[in-house]
Amino acid sequence: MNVFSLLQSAIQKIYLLDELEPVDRFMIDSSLLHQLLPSAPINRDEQLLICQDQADECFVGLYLDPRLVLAGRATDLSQQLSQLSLDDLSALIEGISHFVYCQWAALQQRQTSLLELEIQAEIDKFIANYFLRQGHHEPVDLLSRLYDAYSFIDGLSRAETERYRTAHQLGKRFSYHLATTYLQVGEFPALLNLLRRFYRLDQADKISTIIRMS
Amino acid sequence: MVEVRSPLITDGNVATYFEQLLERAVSNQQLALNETTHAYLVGILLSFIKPTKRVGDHEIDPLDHPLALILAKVYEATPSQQLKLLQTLGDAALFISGFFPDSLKRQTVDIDYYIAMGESAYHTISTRSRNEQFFSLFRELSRKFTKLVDLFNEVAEDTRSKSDRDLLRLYDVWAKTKSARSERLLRERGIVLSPSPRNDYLQ
Repeated sequence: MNVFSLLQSAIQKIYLLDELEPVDRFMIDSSLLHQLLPSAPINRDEQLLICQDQADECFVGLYLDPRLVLAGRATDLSQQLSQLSLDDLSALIEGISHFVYCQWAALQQRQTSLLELEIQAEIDKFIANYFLRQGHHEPVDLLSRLYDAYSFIDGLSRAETERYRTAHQLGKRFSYHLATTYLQVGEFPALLNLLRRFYRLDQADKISTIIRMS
Repeated sequence: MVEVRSPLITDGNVATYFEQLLERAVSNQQLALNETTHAYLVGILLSFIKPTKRVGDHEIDPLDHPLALILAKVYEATPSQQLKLLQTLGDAALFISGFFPDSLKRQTVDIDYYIAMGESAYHTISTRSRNEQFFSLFRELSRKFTKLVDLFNEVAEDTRSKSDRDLLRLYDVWAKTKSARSERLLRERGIVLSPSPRNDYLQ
């Protein structure tokens, strides 16, 4: 098992998902990314590419920065998990979260949106970080480290910036609810119930649920 | 509580003008809408003539105010202000995606964001409405959001020069939403459409 499969398996177990294709087989490098989509930006650590061709064939590929690929393919799990920076581990989690959610939604024949993928990735970033590095941070401390200091990469359109900002706000609010209502008091079964129900809601219900938590 | 705007309280000529445009678009697109929703849509068109809105302590111009920032204000607002802010958010998302798709920089993924936000805002209002009329209205607005964007597209095109039309943009919209209206307009312009357009999305 390498770090990629550990992260994918953690996400699948948290949400009780059936067996999915392993992310490791869908990694693409920057040259293939730009061959498939010449306009792909070059300044991002992780990008999920989804292409549909004229024959209705769908192609999915996950691009990660080479340093993240190196860390993801490492098999000395405990050493890697303790050495990876919070930012790098979060980028890995976000990439795998996108990949898992897309694949799961496709198998369920559900529509999804980029906003929904981002919201889910923001939540996965918190919950997977917490479980994988249990003991490193108190839940509220982890929230603060993940969500309080953030900036957007250059070159985003107005709507992209808005989408990331919205997903960030919603993910932070939901994660704050998870931290204060469940994690701090050790209510793990109820936490998992909520996470699994939430994962299966449609986008509008997800956003409504989070707004109701405010 | 949320406001259901009526064209009766505003300038008769402008209201009639928008009503007629909307009526024609509804008929062209064979969209079934209840009467309250129809009146509400005319209200949105009228309200964006002077878009600045006051909600509690907040003065908001939705055309100049990122939706994410309106959403941020929702968290700090009282329950009744929350509904008004969500309504402002839903109306702005519908108006911008319907009236100014060109401002979304030719990126269909951007329309996707505005549709997601608008649908969700109206959906949230419907789930919190105790009044049956509001519940039905906002549920319809949420469920038919993409079709309403189409409707506003047509109204917008009727209000400006046909030379502004942009085939590439129209194609992008069709490729993303499979909208019947975009398909009809493309075919009218002699564009041959394959059943499965190529879509590339990056996240």
